[in-house]
Amino acid sequence: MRKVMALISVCALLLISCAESTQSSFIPVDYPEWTQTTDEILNYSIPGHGSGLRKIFINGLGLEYREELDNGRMTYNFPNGTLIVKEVYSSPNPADSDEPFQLTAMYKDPGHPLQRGGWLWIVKNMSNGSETILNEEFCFTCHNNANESFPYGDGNPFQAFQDFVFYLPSRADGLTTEGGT
Amino acid sequence: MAARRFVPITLKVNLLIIAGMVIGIGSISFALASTLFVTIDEVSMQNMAGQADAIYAAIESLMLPGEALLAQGFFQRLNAIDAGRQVHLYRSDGYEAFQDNATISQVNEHLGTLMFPTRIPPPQVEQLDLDHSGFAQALGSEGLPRDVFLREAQGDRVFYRVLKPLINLPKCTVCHGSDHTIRGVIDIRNDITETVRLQQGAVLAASGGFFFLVVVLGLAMSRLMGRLILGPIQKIGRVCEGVTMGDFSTRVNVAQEDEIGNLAERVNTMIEGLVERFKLSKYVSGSTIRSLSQGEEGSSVPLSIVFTDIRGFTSYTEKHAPEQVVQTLNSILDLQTRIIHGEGGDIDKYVGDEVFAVFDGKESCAAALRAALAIQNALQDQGPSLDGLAVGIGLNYGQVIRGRMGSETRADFTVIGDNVNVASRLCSAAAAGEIIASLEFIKELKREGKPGAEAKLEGPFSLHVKGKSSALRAFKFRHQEGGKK
Repeated sequence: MRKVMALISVCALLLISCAESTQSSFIPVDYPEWTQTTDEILNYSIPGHGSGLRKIFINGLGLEYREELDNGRMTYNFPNGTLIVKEVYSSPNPADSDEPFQLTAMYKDPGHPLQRGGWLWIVKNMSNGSETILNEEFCFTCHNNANESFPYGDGNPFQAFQDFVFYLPSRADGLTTEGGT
Repeated sequence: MAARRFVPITLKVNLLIIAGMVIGIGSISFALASTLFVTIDEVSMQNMAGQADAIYAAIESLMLPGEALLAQGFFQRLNAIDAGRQVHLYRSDGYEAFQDNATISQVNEHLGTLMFPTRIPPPQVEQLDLDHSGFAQALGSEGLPRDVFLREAQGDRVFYRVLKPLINLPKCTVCHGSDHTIRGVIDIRNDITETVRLQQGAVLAASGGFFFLVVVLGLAMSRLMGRLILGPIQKIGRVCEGVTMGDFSTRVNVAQEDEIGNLAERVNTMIEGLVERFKLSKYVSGSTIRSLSQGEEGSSVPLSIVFTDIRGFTSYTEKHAPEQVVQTLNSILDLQTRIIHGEGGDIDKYVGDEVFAVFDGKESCAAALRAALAIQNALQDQGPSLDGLAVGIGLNYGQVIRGRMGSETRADFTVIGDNVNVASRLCSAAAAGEIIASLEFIKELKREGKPGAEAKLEGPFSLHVKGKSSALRAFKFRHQEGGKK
């Protein structure tokens, strides 16, 4: 019950916040045809997204992220224009016919005035189709944890800079990393 | 319509100056003060936001290895460093963190082991008001969890306050679990009472300076305006008033090379023109002056024409000294002139002892008759002082030609024509004390509806005059019985 309440409250908060931020349009209708960042079933509870199933898609540009050492620390940097879309379902085990109740997205645009960490943090209102760039620290603060060790996936044991993405997708050139955001 | 109240221009100008300065300087002062205060507020809030971020990072760093006691000590030390700035961490249920065993028990339960020892809780743990709007907003009651900035007053103290949500980050979930998003709220409260007092002092100082500036500049501007504009205008007004009262010797003494100076010069020029015209009016007819000012050319107009001539004046000149002749002649001419002017007539010219006058307008014949009767009365009354001299008067009415007659170098503005000659002939025919009028004059007099009730009309009788082949029909005016003779 507590998890459900947390899920509902977070979703409500995200939807309400749309009225306070900038309207935009980033997420194309064919995003489900993109590469999913991970095969892992993401239906465990996490702060901010609850315990509903998450499916994560990344556009082709995002698969060409750079991987390099910076003063001994591994860094991964996604190219500008990378778009990562996360479907959030209300149930941990939705039926095939179920639609996600929410879409959140990250769009790489370091020059945008609302960017945080070089990304725009976007939420789509599924009831009216509107997209909003969030002007809050909330998403960025949590995703900042992706650049140090965290308890998901491989846990980023060497504290690489993962460009605010928790699970790196497999790169287009065949180099692979377990994925998910 | 009610008469508008007289408001001195000095008052209007001074009010305008004061209003302009109050609005102008006041607006700028207000804008500067507002900008300053907003800037101070923004800088203060930015500083507090920076403090909040630093404290947030410190808590993250301290709590990750589970060093709650270090975090608690960190808060205590922060609060001891500056009593004006108090930092507290509250759980999302509103209770202050690090005071009881609620979080420790929750973590131990989540980890399945007594990882962290419990403590002896204080008798009472402070709890924030959950209905406090800032706390609720920080937790996300109006959208996403967010930093909330407040300005609060408690008694005579004023505080800036930042309520920053402490997010249950992924790395925190290892101990705290992932079934909640917000762990609590960091509450930083800065006492800005002294800053507010400084602001109030600045406002008072600025207001005092503003008031002083307005008064000083207002007085200076007022004096300057008075010296440059109002004083000269008042001088011009006094001179105009003097001219109205007949003082043509007055002049405006304003030595300024500007519009006011030009106005004063024009007023002086105007007065000199009036003086010249006044002097000129003694020597030329009013119609001449009008023609000069209006640039009249020749025209045919209906006029009443009056000729008077002193009877027996030639023999008088032979029997008296020239000085007395001139004095007596001038007395008689002056008497006639005043009467004619008094009735609205105009002396066209003096020809020796003869007066040639014209009357214009709707009741010109009545006015001419009144003047003729008055002249005869006056001369009869003053007969002894004028050595018993009397005049004969001829009156005619009709079209005459009026215009400037003469050369380019010397000209008169006068009237000519047969009707003028007829009036002159009627005058010649009039004996001393007589008034002879033409038939045309009598007809016009009746048409005017002013037949001359004070005079008795005799005639008509035929009168042969020089230059006329047929006799004129003429009339004589005599005073009515009982009237002044």
